[in-house]
Amino acid sequence: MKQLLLPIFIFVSLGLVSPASVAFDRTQVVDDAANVSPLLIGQNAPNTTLQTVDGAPVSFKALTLEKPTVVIFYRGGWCPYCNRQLAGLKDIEGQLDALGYQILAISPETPAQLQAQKLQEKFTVRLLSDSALDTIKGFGIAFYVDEQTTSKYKTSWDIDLNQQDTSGKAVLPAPAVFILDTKGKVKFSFVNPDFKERLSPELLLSAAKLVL
Amino acid sequence: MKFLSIKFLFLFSLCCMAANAKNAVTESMIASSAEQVRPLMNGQFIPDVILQTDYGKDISLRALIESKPSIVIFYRGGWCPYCNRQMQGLIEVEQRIRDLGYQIIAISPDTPQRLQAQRTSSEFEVIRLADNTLQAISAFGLGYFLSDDVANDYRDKLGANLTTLQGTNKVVLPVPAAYVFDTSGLVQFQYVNPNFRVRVSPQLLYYASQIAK
Repeated sequence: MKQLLLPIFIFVSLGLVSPASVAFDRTQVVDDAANVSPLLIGQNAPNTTLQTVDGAPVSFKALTLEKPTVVIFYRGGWCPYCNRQLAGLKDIEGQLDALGYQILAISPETPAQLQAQKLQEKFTVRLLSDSALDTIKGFGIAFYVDEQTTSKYKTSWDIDLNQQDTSGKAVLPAPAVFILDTKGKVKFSFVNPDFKERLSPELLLSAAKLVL
Repeated sequence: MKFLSIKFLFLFSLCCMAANAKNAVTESMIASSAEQVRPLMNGQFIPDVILQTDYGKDISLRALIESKPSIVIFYRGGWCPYCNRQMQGLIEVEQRIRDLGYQIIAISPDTPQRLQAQRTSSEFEVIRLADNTLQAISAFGLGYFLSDDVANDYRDKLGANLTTLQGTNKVVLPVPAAYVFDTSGLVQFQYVNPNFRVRVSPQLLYYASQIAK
């Protein structure tokens, strides 16, 4: 609760000084999860390239043209909240499939990391690597992890946040769920900068039924 | 006479500035278009703003939200047919949402007087609040400047009374939005769509309020 106050204060103060007349860029990497500006409903998903678990490049646009898509952005296989969220999808994936949806789960981890986690065996959702960070940035949910947190993750849990951009700082996505139609247009989004809070599978299913 | 009225205007604006100094809405807090808004997100706190009831009474939005779980709808004004249709559509889920313990609050840039005119005999129990000072609309990150052409169109064709940012002649509207708040003031769900023709489905809002509790 208190932890949230500071980022919100910063968010509000930044809002006060940023000139509105200058179009801002949703895709820029911000300094805190609370400052992300996710794509809005009605806006178009970016035309980016991801990698499959096997390291093969795949066009995000080509994927989304095939079927309406539930896109889940998660932080990595090391993140228990993320794994719980992915596990929770088991209850609804049959119904999402029956509705015609595919489920893509995107994280900043490398194909090698995805393979090592063997998540693909546990989950029927399609795991994709965005180690280049283009898709995460394109959805407006990329933020820099401060060095304190990076080293705490390393020392406390032996987690390597090694997906860095050119600044050398680790980048993570604010956990998010988007529903896209086959034109790649956002029909629904749920972004919560607090990584402990995720969209419930029931609500995701309701949204999937109602927004297309 | 002219001198007096200028003097009065000056004093009046000084008073307004003093009253609003803390929460004065400036141009930099309003987006240049609907596509540029940066709305309050899930997990963030209800801004501390003062709105007015349709009787012109000041009310703290935060205090109101802390009293009950709440659905907060931002709409463009009583002149907006899509907004009125959205309110009508809420009737189908209103009782169920209320049974969950929620109150429904609807905020627009209309003045209290204009809100009074919007009250109809068939209307369900919704707390309409006036944000003609644009405090909530800007603090939620929903406000954008309407182009002069579109503003004139709305005035001519829909008889719209539009609210301008204080000290300017620039019309501000909110991107239509629906929020679900718990009583600690945290956003549990939000649906914001820059396309004013598309609103959250009443069913989805009901499911969201069911899960957020």
